[in-house]
Amino acid sequence: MIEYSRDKKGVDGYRTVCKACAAAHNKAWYQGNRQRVMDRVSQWQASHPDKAIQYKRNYIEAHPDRRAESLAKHKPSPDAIARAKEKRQAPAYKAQAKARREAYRDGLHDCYVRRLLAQKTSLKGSDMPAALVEAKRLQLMIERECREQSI
Amino acid sequence: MNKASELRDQLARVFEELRSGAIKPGEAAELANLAGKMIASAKVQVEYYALRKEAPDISFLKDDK
Repeated sequence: MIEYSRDKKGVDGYRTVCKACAAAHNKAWYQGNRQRVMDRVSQWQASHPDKAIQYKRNYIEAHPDRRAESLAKHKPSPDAIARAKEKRQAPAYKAQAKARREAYRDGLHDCYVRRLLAQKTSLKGSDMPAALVEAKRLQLMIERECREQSI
Repeated sequence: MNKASELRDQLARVFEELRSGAIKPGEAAELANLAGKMIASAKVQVEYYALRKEAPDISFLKDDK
């Protein structure tokens, strides 16, 4: 049986194109306009960094096997790993990293709260569920406000 | 308070009340301490499922919204 999507404006309440044909058409359109779509998505992600990160985290939480597959596929070469390690030893890099960490701590950034939650466990910050991270952030905000008011 | 979302909403209310002066810092600190214990308990459950390599089934973290 051929399936049709619903369409309120359609004569019989259905689209005139079947689901398979619509999917094929959409796929062909995407193949022809891939760069345009990617540019639009990149632009949206740049203007909504928090939402973009949350979407990615939700995806990784829902599909851990795909994440593992992707990491294995894009594993860096030993040369790239060695170069990155050397770069991290430079004093300027270390100073920048320290300033960044302090900014994350002061702003209770996601990565800081996640790292705090993952302390003394075998988990990484990225393993923490978003709901727990939000609750922890609020707890920290209350504790900071109490300390400030007590001074 | 059976869900993380409820805890989150409660903590947000406490924070607002603390800033407005509706509750004292001591009281807010006690509530934050209690919330910390609930968070730590949920964290232990997350770690348990991770070590068993199972998908977590924690009712506290399931969102009704």
